[in-house]
Amino acid sequence: MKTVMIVYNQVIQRELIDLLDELQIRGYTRFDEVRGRGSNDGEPHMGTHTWPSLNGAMICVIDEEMVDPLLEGVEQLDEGPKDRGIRAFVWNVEKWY
Amino acid sequence: MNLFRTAVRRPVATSMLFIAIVVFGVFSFQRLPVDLFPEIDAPVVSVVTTYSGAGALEIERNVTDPLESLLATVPQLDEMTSESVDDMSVITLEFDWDADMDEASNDVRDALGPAARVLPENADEPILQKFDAGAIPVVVYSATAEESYWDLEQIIDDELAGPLNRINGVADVSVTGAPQLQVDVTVDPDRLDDFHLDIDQISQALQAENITSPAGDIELGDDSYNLRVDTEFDQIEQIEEVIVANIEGRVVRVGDVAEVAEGLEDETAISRVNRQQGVTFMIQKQSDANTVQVASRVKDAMPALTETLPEDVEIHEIIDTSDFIVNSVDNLSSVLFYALLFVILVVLVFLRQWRATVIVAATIPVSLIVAFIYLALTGSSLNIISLSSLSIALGMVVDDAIVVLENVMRHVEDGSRPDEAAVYGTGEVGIAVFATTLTVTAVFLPLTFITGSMGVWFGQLGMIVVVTVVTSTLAALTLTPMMASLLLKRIDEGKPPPKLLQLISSGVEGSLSGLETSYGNALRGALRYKKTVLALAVVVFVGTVMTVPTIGTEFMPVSDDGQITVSGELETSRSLDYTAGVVDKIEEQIAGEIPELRILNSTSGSGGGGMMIGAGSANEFQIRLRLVDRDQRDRSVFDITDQVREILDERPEVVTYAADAGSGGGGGGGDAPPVAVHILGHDLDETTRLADELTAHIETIEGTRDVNSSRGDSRPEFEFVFDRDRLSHFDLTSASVASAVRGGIAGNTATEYRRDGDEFDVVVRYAKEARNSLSDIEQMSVLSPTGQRVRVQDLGEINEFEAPPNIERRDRDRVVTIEAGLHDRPLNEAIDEIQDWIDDQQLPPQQQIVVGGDFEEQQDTFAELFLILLLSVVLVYLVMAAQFESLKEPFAIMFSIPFAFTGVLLALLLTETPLSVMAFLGAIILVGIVVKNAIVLIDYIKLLRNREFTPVDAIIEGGIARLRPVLMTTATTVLAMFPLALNLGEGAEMWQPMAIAVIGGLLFSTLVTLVLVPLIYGLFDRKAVNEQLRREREEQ
Repeated sequence: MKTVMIVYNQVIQRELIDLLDELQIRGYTRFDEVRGRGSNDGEPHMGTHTWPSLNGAMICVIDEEMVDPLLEGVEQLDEGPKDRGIRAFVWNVEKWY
Repeated sequence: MNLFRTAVRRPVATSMLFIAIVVFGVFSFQRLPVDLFPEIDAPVVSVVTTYSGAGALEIERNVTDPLESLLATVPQLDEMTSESVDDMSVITLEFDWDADMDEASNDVRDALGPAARVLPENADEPILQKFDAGAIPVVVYSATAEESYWDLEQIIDDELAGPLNRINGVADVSVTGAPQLQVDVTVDPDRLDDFHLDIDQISQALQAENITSPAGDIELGDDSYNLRVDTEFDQIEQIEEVIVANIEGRVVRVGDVAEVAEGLEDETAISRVNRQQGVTFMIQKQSDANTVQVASRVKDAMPALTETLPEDVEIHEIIDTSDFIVNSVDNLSSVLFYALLFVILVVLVFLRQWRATVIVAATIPVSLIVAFIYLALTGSSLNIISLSSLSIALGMVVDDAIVVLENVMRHVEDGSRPDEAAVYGTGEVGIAVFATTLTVTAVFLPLTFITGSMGVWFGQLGMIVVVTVVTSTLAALTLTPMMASLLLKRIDEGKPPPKLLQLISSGVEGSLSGLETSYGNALRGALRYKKTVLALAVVVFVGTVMTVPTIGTEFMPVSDDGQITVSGELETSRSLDYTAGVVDKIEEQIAGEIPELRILNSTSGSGGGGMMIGAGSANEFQIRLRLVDRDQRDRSVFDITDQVREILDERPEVVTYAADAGSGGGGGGGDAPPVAVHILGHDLDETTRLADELTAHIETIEGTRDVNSSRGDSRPEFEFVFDRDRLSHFDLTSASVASAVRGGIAGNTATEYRRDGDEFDVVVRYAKEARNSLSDIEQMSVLSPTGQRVRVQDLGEINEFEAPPNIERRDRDRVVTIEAGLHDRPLNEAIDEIQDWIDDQQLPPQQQIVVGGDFEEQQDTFAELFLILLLSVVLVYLVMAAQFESLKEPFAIMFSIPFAFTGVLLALLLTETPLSVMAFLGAIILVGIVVKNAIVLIDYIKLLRNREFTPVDAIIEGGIARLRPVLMTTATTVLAMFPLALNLGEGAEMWQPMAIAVIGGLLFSTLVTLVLVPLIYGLFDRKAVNEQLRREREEQ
């Protein structure tokens, strides 16, 4: 099992959920309205007057074979006329009950 | 702020909310009465006291003065003026505008409590009259006839008045100018003398012989009968048969000493319509009824009613007060329509997407319709003020929606789904939209604090703009994102538009981009040559401020309602017939020379303003012209009035006159003439002399018209001065002689003669030949108690003296008011010339000359508006400082305000519009609109600075990014005002100067805002800006 944490511009939240549905990934835990900025460039999402947009974050615990299709889908979501802001990070799940 | 999220997630609920608003608005709209102005309760109470037989001076001393001292302490009294004329004193009390008039009348009534003790015994009780706008007739008709002329009043009473009175909302139908029939008993004084009779005896005999009286019941057997004495005259011949006296066995009948015939009452006024003598009848509405509704009901009923009248009776409509109202409202509705069209066009050009245009346009009806709900809830009406306010608000209600939609569309273009873009796009600008609405409120809300008659105008304007703009913000934050989420298409989903549209679209886009590039370059240049640009700005501002003295001022623009009223006077001693003759000649000339004339109607023997008092002298006249509608004539009512003045100037018989054009609009703004100068002072001779000189001086001032002094020329009067010794010698009293003389000259109404249910006065008096000269009157004889005949000339003598016909007072001091109209000359220039003259006078301390009229009101209103302007500026600064959380940025933004005023002044100069209250109002409105542009700009520059842009980049990039929204909101506001500025028709004239001021100020300040405001913002970071510019130059 792998944990995928997806941090995304909340503007594309709906599309992200559509993607999960498409991949038949049911489980996720979502954190709405989180703030953050990228390590290199990209628009900060601060919910302030200067940087009005906000992020959402999502944690999905999925089977290993689903990781690549998910990352592919996420990359597609990021492609638009402009860098829309979505990243996914994967790590191992040590234990669960 | 989850308002917009909820709105987008629940489109049905949001739609229902706005549909509910629209339904409620339409419902309110249908119930709204149509009127010219918002209802105004003029805070005026008059106290009218009659004291028969007293001259103006006596009235002033014995009636007006004591009453004034009683009334002086009434609370909330603003000004007390009075006029003392023969037989009557009229005291007018003007209260503060916020006074409760019911309470005020009670206070006046209380103050008049001791009146009976201070007034002379024969004076009547003072009567209280409240000003009632409802008393103004709604429709006035005239009736002319050939053979039925004598029966006109009867015909109107019987055939028209009844049915008209039954119409819902009609209070009264009153007939004026009708010939009154009476029975003349014309006494031959010589025959009276022969029989040793007195005129009073004839009256008494007639009275005693014309009775009907119950004499009790009589019982005859089982039946009871009423017994009545009835000697009422059935025929005129019976009057001749009445026995007056029995002298030495010889019976003297009325017919022996007098002729009895049907005749006409002495006319006090002659009214004519289209040069035919006729009768006018006016229809008054109940005070709560609506003018337009009543007028239209009456006009609907009239055709059927007139058909039943005799063939020779012709009915003309002279005045229809609803006409101007309906036309104005229609015109303003079309002004509103054009404004709507322009605004939608602007949105279409800038956004070039019909879906986006629909979304923005949807906020317009929703926001405007709320104004109807507000009007209905406050019991107001659809009037020229509320409608104009709507068209002023129109350009502003789309602004918020534009800002929101622009941001949402940006997200969509970046690839977001429309519903997500709608939520987040709205959230990003929500606060800015809210802040701009606050600034608009900060400007318009203080307008509702204005008091006085101006308050009625501006209060409604202020409230309507606030209500609509607040609603538009609500719509922009809910309806706009909701519609955007449903209507906008993702870029990859939309079909490409047709070729032609694409071509136009790319053309517009191309020129807008080009504009953005050159604006960016201009900004860069301005930043480099900061000092030059700043100096230039200062020069421009100072330069326009210097032009201020050349801009004329006026109080209120006058509307062209196609009506001209001429009130004039001949020499004081002229008779009614003479006056009517002169009026006829004037009318002939007017009818011949003015082709635009529709109805000409005149009254001889009654001056202007007689509505309330009904007093008029034989030498006064009034001529009313009604012109064809404005679109059917080339000349304005003012040009035609000048021609009427020329015609009057050619008549040497006319001593003074005033020709008043476009009176229909005066209801709200006070009816004061443009120039009014009050000369205060007790000394009648001295103040009259001053008044004459000043009148002559004002007549020489360029542009003045109709110069009139309120103190009429002294007129010759005759009075009997009895020798009391002689009176007592003959056992006569002053009263008995006066009664006999009065009986001879004025006549006594002895009794009533009844025929066919109508009553006629039976008037006994001397034949005309016996009362036509002073010697006739001296020859009149009085019968003493001892039966001796005494000639009047033996009892005293007749003296001739001059008396002022009226004495006016203002706050208990005698005053002469000189009034004048103005044409094509700014008020301030004329007043300056008058002030120069006043300053040259060496006045004793008892006398004072003050300038009143429009000028006084203008000064008061300008002072008040100036305070409002300051208040708005301060409020706007507070709102901005709070929004920016900074004191600096608002300061930069404030720099757009002075240049708005520069633009106002330039626009007024170019269009030769005088600075009126309305133009001033435009300047106040500008504070809100102009600042809005600057906020949009600075807000974004500041945002870019926070995004770590260098000051120069932030200024230039920010400027370019916000160029479109700034141009767009400016274009919508300017174009929405454009129809008003063009002055398309009746009712819009008032607002023309305001629209011109707003357009000029907004255009100019937008130009300045786009360059100067970023520049001043740049000054805050002077070092960084200079540094970067220097580096850039070195790199090149």
